Amino acid sequence: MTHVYERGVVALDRVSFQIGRGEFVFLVGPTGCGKSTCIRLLLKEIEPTEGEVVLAGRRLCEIPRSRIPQLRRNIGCVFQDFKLLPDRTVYENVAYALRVIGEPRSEIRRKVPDILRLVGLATKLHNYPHELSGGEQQRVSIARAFVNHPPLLLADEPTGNLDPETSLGIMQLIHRINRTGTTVIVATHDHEMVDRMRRRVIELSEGRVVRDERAGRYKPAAAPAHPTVPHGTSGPGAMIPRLQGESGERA
Amino acid sequence: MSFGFFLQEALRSLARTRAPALAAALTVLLTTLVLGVFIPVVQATTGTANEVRGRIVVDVYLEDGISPADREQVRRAIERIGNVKSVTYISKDEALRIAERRNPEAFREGVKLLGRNPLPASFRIVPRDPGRVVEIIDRLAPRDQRGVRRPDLPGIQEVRNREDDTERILTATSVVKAATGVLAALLAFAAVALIANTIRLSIFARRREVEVMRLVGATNWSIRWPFVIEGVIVGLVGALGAVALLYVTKQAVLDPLADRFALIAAPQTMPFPALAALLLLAAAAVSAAGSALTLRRFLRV
Repeated sequence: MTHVYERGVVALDRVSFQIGRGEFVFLVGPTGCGKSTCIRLLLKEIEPTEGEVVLAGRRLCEIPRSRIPQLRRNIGCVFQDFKLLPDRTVYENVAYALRVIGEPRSEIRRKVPDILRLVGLATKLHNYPHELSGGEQQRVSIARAFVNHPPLLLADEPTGNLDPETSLGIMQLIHRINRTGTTVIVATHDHEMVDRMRRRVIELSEGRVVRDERAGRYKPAAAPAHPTVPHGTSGPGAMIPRLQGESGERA
Repeated sequence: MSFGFFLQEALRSLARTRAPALAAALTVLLTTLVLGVFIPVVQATTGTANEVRGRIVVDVYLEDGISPADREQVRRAIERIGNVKSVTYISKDEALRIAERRNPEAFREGVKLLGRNPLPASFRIVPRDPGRVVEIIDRLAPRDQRGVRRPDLPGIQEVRNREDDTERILTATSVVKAATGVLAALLAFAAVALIANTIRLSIFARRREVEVMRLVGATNWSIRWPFVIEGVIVGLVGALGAVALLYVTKQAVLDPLADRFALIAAPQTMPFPALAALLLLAAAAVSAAGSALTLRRFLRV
């Protein structure tokens, strides 16, 4: 698919990849390479200029506007800036996500403490976000994203604001979520994390897929440690991968 | 989704945008107040004017010392006019009785004070066509060169109809209507603009919530409802204040006066509960419209 923003900026240029159900994928690349655009396309916040996004066998372009909320209820989202509500407690922040989609109170009372226990915040239910550390805030945001156990979890720079120690904990949490069968897509430029996890890596550069590697590192194995964009490898079409053999994302 | 949740969100949001919400509520209060005064006043004046117009008669007042012969001559002159449906003679005594019936104390005292009956005897003419009532007057008291009416026959003191009064009431009514209408329109416009502004600020204050709601898949209407409710609350608070003020004014000022002034007690005005309901409904509708307008412009979901 291709996406051109209104100002004429080409964010994605003939990008094509498939992600199987239950996979854990890193989307890597420098700022402005199109990672966030991919995430916004998956959420149907924007429509691709060309091509299409297929999610669980459904073409997103065929989903009417009125059904977008249903789509998003099946996608959990985690962001670099947490997007917590500052005047609500941890419990209320997570419960809020359930209340706005009309979950009954009894369900909320059951699910929220469960998920907060899962992310390790069982003791901080009644704290406000500003009373928490960055890592804890990100845990709340993960709890909110995962409270309904969506089949797909998107994380846009989830460790971007955190120190390496804390980041590790967050990545372990996301990994745990992945092991429950949830497909996880993490957009990041956190070298250390990608190298440590050794999962599938899709590298984007200037809107193109330049690498798609199983159990990959942040940098291609042969690349110099010095962080330069591997520009030479992105010859027209040469490196655009078409992953075969996967069943396609089943959300 | 529960209404309780929307209401809770709306109240939370109101608490955050207190100042603009208060300004909007006060403007609604002012608008509703003007409307609350305007509606009964127009109703009363229009009703009275119509009633007077429907009762158009010409009164031919006779001089006190008129001779029976002159009186008969006047009656015959009246009966010769084509547009006359009926002529009734009202003697001085009858005139006094009628006046007394209308306002007993004042007249009893007045007559006692004057020592005599001040009211003239008269012929009351009911025209066949109220629209051409002026013809009757012209026949009985044509205008002279200077435009002053001079009775044609001896013994006639004055010929008058109530058309003049009616026209005056109608003119006054239309002026009042126009002025209040313009004022109400301006205020309504200000009220809508201020409510819209409140909602805009509220959207801004709640942009994080809106973002989160969108991400977790809240439907468009569950995102919008709290804002609409917020607008309606602002409108209703203002309107309730206005209705309370109107009620107090009615109890304290108008009701005591209603015994004395026919216009205030005019039966054509709607009862107060109906007026209050109408005002509250209008305020709620207008504020909902103001909110919806802003949501369409600033909250593309």
